[in-house]
Amino acid sequence: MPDLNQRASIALQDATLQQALNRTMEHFVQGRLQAFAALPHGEALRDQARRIRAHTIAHLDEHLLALERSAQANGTQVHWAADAAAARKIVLKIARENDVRRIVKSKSMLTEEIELNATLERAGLDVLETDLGEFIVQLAHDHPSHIIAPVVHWRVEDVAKLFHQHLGSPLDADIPQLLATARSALREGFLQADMGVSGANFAVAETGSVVLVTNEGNGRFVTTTPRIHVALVGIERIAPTLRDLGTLLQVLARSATGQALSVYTSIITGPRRSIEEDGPEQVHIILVDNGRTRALAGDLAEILYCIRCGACLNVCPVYHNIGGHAYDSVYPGPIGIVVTPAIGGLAPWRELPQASTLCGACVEACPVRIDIPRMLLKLRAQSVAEGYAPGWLQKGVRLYARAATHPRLFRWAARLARIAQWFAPRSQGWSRRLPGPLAAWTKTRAFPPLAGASFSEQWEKRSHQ
Amino acid sequence: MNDPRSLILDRVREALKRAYTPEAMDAIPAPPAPPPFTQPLADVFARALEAVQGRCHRFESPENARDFFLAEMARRGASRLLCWEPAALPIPDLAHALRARGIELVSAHSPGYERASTDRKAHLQELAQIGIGLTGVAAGLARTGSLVLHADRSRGRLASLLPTIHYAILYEDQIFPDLAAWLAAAGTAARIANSSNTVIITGPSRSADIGQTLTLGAHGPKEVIVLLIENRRHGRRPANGEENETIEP
Repeated sequence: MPDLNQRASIALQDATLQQALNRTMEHFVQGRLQAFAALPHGEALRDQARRIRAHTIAHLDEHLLALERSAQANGTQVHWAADAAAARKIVLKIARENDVRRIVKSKSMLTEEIELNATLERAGLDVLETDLGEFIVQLAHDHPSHIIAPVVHWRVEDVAKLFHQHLGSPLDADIPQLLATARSALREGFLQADMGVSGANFAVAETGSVVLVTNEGNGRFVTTTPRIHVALVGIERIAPTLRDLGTLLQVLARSATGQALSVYTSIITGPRRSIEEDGPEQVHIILVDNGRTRALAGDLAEILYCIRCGACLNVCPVYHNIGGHAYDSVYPGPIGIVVTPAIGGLAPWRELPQASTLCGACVEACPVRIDIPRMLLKLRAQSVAEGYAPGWLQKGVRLYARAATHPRLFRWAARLARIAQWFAPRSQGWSRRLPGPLAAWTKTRAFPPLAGASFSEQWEKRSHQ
Repeated sequence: MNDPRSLILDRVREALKRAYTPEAMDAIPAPPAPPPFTQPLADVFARALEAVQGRCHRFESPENARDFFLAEMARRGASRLLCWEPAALPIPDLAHALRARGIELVSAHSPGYERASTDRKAHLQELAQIGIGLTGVAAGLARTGSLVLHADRSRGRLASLLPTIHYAILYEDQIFPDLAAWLAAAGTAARIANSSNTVIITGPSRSADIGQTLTLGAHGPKEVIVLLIENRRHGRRPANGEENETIEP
């Protein structure tokens, strides 16, 4: 497996990907800014959303119990899964007990996280992804590269080729034709399915509801036409009350796609009541931990405030350049490089916290103002403490720390460096290739020349004038 | 400790002793309120709906709306409609007038529908053949041009989901300024709690997944057409949650 730097290099040389990222990211960013500008109390709503998330996470045990109580009261069956394997087992058990053969799925990052599809397919079940992007990903055996735009890396002509192969549409089909082809293929799936599997944007503790937001309408179908609906809910996804839900929904779509609200917001409160016309006969909520309590215990708990809008991906200079696949984690971008090691442990994901310039654009874009750079510094410090940082870096930093805390030594070192720098090759005044361990720095960046006189020398001179 | 529920709850409680949760308060304060709209809510609603590619036709009375809808059905050559139970349609005499013109009104409820999975699927296939849906709504949200629908005894979910075209009947007195105002209104919470499905619809179904280009009609209706009516015939506004049963004299 190539490392993060190698994967990033591959992505940077992928012209198609670069073009798609340039176009789409800018579009998302402008959409978000305009959507908030149109709202007189947009900034106040973000503050409120942050308060709601902070409160919910800090009182998570109470809200989980309240959610369970209200959900059971409305007829929803509640299950608890400590890890991915347990969650998969519960879904499989529900499917088997109910003689399920065909499953339709609405887009869910949590099901990607627990790798649900592979398990279901191995058990001989027919699984159909119904979000158009996820459908393309499934047909092509690809992976989503953006939290809310899974196939941002696909061109129209590539989709046309794929649909031509699998669904028999013409090779030169345009976008409306492609959409119509997918619509009829997936419509058949919705009508024939025995069970619908979804994630949850939120679960409301007050009413025991699962809330699903989609633009295409697949979220509605998956929870309406099959006789069973199973919702996988991360334990942090709770909105305590409907009032809180209102605030969160108002910032979610604006941050995600720049819409005032997504086209369909479904508030699912139990199975079809006996007097009602349509809807599923069973609704299940599976509350999934899978490392979230690990994230909760300590400095990284704030990452659980996240409402998965994807705004941080769109503004991130690193994501903007390398796209989602280079991260090789289910969750890419600024949110991904914190939440992945936070729930999965740092050891397997030690590279990820390096994939950031710490510029802080993510904090500014985040609807709940999560301080991602703060947590990245914590993760990097932990990386050093646990010995994951390369040896030369650790030695180098220790050397620098020694010089920086001894003024005399520092001045001598600086003078030496000023002389030595004339021997390093330059272009346009900047050093492009430093010797020894410093070469790691100039491999991907230029180093500015040191000034003829240091700051303290200039300061001294000035105060004598 | 084998019980995953107590295991997770114990983990949460243990973790919370060490969790750094900046700005966490014990209670959540009231959300910020936006300044009130200076224009009539119906105007704001209509503009917002058009902005998300929905269409809004405005009428002074339910009779005008009924005549328009009958003309639309004739224009489209419709012979069947997927709709709420006729008694729940909020325009008096509409069901009667449609039937008089030979249009069949189909609602999702039919005997045996819920009994066996094969029947259920066959039934859905049948309903999915109907191209036009007609419903009332429980509320309209001005800022976003949204429609709110609750599933209940006579108001199925499928009429606003399966067809390619969804017509919705909305009275001006059902419009709330925005999502927050509707959620805060008396009766809303109970209505949500008592319905298995509440849906907020904001324009026609859309996707931008292919080529990052906005395209309408992904899975749900391609067209959402709202008949927005100014005055009720009987002049009585139903309480929130009671909805608009037709009040036959």
